[in-house]
Amino acid sequence: MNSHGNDAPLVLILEDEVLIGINLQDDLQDAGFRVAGPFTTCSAALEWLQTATPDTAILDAALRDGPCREIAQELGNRAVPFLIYSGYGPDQELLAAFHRITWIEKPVPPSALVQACQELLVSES
Amino acid sequence: MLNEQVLPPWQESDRLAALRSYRILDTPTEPVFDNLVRLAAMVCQTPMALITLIDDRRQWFKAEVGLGWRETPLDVSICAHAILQPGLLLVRDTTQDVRFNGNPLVMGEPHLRFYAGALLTSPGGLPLGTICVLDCVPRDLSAEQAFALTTLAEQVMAQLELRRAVAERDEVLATSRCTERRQALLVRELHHRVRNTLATVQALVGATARSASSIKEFNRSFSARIAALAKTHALLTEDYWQTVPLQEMLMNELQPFAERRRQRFKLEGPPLDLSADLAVPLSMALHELTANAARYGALSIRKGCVSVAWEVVTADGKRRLHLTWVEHNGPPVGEPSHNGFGLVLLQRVLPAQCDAQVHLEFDTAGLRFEISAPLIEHRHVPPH
Repeated sequence: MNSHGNDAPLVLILEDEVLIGINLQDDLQDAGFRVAGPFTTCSAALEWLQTATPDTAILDAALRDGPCREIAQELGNRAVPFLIYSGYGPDQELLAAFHRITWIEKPVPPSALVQACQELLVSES
Repeated sequence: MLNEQVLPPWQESDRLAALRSYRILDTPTEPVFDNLVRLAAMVCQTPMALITLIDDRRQWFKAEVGLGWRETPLDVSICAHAILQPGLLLVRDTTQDVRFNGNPLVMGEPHLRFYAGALLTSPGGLPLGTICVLDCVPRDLSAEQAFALTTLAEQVMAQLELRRAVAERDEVLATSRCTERRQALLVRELHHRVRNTLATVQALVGATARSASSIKEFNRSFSARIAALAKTHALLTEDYWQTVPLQEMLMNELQPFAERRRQRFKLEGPPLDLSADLAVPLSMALHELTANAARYGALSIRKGCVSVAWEVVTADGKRRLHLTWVEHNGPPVGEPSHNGFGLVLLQRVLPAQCDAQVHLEFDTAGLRFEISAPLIEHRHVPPH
């Protein structure tokens, strides 16, 4: 299911609030996921995507170097399901660009995010 | 022949200020003014008519028929003489008038022989220019034509006044639109910031829970962290530009340790305002350092002291903050036994969040922490 030959699914985290990112990482790892990142910029995440593909991803909508659109596009092209976890309400343009997108407004309990990731993986498989 | 120097009853600077307040100079032609000069030429039966405004070195024509120019230098202007007297200036034959018989526009092209100009007067009584009719042959104006020309002058002024009122209204509207945009932006930013802050608090709960050994310890650390975060946000909110003075951030943490007779901390560095992006993580770090010093380090015993020194260094055109926290005269320091939240914050969060280089050293003489971080210069808040 993931490209690393490891059974644990790999989640990419793109989140510019490092504390939030690290906490997400800890929660996901506790729930049995492997984590790529947390990346704080789109460019760092794009660079990682050049050599790897995650099973799913949690993206902040607005990063320091711009919106997550390009990453979302890249994940969409590879049929990787992802969710947007943002302090902003849903971006209609971004929603329109992807036929099915999970948009979660910050903050929700860590367990809700973990569950959302699990659901994305189930619905894809 | 007398060279009469008529002293006008106004200040030229006031007159020019009044003229400029209409913001009409060098604007494109407009049908409403074009029609007024056409009407003037028609009524007075002259081939030429102008609306001319007397600027400091030129006369500029808002509208003209029959002449084909938009401006002339002031020294050839007949209207510049017209504005020196109230009402209507009538020159039946310019070659017979000492004021004009040497004028190049009279002597040469277009050989002006007749001039009649009605003054354009501001509501404050300042002459701005004229509406005038011109001909290449001597002639006269009937009383009806003179009345018509004077009335047209009043219409020109009415149009200018209207135009100024509209311009002033537009300016007020633009200012209010700018305020509205700023307000909308701030509301959106506030909403975003509240949500992000709540998410940060949530992360703090998680991180504190992971490193706390008891509910009591969790409660104490978590409450103190929230209080520190709140103080920094209070400072950010006080400032229009959403920046915090570094000195105040440090005082927020260290002030409770101040003693009258003993120096418990020393702050050395230039006044420096930090934007939220750096101020929030750095204040959290300073809180962790202070809390650690109070529990295990220099602030845990009476003779201990904390020195904080900072400077701004410019490298490759970018400004960086260099800050050093050094503890002296505290109990002997050893490596921490577990990887608590303070360490996570100093060693993982700060470098990634602030693009900073950090160095943390558990020197037996006292803990030493150094950070070098780029100053974020761009402003989130639009200007007033």
